[in-house]
Amino acid sequence: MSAPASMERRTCLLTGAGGTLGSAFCVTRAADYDIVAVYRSRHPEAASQLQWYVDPLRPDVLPEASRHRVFVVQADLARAGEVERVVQLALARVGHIDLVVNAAVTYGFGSTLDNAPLLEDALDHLAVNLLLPARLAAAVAREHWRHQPDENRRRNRNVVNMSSVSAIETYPGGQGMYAAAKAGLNALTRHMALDYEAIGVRVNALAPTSFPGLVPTQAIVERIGALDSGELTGTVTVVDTAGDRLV
Amino acid sequence: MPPAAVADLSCVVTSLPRSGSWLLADGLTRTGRAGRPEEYLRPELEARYTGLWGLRAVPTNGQLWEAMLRAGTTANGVFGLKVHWQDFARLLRLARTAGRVGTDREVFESIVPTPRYVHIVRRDTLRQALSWCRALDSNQWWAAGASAPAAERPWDPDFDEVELLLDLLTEQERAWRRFFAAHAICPLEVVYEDLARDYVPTIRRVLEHLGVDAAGAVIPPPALRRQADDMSGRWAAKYLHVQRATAPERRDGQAGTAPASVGSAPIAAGPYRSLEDVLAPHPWTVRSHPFPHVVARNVLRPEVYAEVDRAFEDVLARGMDAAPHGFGRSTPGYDVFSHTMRTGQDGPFALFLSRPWHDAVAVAASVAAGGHVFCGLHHHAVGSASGSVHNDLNPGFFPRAARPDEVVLNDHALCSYYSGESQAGVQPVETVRAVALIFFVHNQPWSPGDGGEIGLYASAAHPIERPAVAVPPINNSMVFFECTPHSFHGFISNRRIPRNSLIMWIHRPPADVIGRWGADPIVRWPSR
Repeated sequence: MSAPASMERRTCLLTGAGGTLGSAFCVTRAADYDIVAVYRSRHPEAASQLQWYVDPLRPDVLPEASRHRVFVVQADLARAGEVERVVQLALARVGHIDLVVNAAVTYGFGSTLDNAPLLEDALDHLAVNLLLPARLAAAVAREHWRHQPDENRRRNRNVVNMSSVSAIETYPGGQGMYAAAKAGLNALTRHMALDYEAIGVRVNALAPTSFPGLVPTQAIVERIGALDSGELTGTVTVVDTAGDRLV
Repeated sequence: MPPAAVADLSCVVTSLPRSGSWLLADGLTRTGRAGRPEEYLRPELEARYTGLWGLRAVPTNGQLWEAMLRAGTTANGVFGLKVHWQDFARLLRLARTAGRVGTDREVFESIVPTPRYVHIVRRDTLRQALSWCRALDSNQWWAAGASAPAAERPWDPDFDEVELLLDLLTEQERAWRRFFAAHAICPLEVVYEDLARDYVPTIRRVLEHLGVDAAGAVIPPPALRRQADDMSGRWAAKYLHVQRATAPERRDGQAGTAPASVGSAPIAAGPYRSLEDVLAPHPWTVRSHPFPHVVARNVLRPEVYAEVDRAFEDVLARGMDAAPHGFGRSTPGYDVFSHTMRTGQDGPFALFLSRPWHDAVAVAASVAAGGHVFCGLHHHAVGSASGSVHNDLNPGFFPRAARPDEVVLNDHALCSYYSGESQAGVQPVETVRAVALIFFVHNQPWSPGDGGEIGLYASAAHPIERPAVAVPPINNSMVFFECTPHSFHGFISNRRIPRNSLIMWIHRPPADVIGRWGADPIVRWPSR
């Protein structure tokens, strides 16, 4: 583990902040990172500039859960111009971005045999689950990273793409479209790592099994932290009940 | 040892001594779906568990916690733990010494995976303290099976010790509440007396809270017998008798201590001593969009809410053309039946008219308010018309000023709330509404599409049916906000079920409003 060279707090741009993982990341890591948390419809459980908590019995004392707030941005990243807006807002807010966590996801389950709507919506599905991580990272690179490779290396900047074990294993239950997007994301992650090496930014993916059903959500949050503070790039790590393995 | 399941979810029963947590924990264990919640963290039991788990004589904390997770986890991957506050606090200390870092919640959750909290409380804390005292004296902590109790040994409690234990119970309950509130945790609250009465449904409710298959669970009858007997009842009565006789002294003794918080001031509502006795241990959520407001669910403890609900039903039963005792039509242009609280109101509603409640709401809304309250009940029959989008920045007149420790209600017999027109000799006090609050009570279960929400709007020009935020009428939840020129809100028609609420406004001097926004935004009442 290498500590960041600067004492400046690390910053994180997180998508999917309203989901189980995003929310847990916000709640447990807001003390460590300045987080810009992007959500589409559900505000993360964490305290933010829009929502915080008060203990009615001690209204004068800010509860621990309200002390560190994330900065939330409500956005539907599938819509034109939203990725750029979010990146500009994040940079305006926190000045620099050390970690990008691509946790936004859309679920479209159904048989590839007889589910016409699923196939008709396939491009929208792929736009979020496969392409959005690359588009967001590219927007950060365009606005910020590609002009400062030394600073990127010094601050150990990196991208974590949230994939799924469904990309590796074939489960029943109509996960075809989801699994294909995540399998594509694994390949894309490795290629992004090659491309981003030139500007000193690492890119990795995590492919967890279902959480919190089979592994605790907090375990995934910890894996993101480990990737952020580590040196790996171009890896896809499966996290399941048997432990972690690179694939 | 059979191969153990890996825990991915934890059932954490948070408790106090003699709260009936054994009955709950045992019931959960025997479903086979909620882990095996035992007091693994109790120092006195450590040697026993170390032996049971086949650990070496002095295991490391890491080994202990690992073995605890193995032993307490059922085949479905749920770990069960029952823990009193002092053992919880000790665990946090040990974990920090062992290098775990973060907030209390993070440190705990680094050992216990994905906890769902179930908080058990006992309504009758005096009997709880007596039971604790008796268990300490006799060293008999539970009675199992159907066999007759051992011959009743005479027992003479030391009331000073009971007093001490009562204080300890209060302190530990407070500590749990602070932990929950500080970390925005909403535990499922189980009341021991309800568990004892409705055992199977209560256990099922806990399984539902855990998210495990509750419908298919087999719930055997309780294996633990209630230990309370006539002796506890007799001592409870005697203790109360002695306490009443010495009560003034006790109050004097405490007079020098300023209330540490809003919660510790007396609320003079039924049997409750302070807000801590009535509020469920949940934080309230402050939101800033579309204008600052506070929302809270499960506001009151279940047993307190039940009393408020019954009291609402009583008023409802008096009829819709029965003001001032029941409901009446008193709000021109607004499709509602209302009932206004009067000075001297006692019973469950009194808590809403208490100064600590007033102060807690005012502080949470960031308002300096002066103790003047208008409080009432609203009933919307099915299909009541939507109200308009309005801001509630209206004046209100009261018959006199309020002392810092009291609430003064409007009193129509002395002075009109709307115009200030008064009886001879009354010097009316003019105020402006500072906070509007709606607490939902006595409603049927609500589903989207039922309507009856309070809509919050960014502008008065927005249509009532298109709010920025809609707060649904879910029982024991509330919304409140500072009344400003921009606090646009309104009632959205209830299409399917009646809609019931308690409404209140707290007030402040007009100068506070005029100083911030000028006098023009204050919306005068039409002449009535």
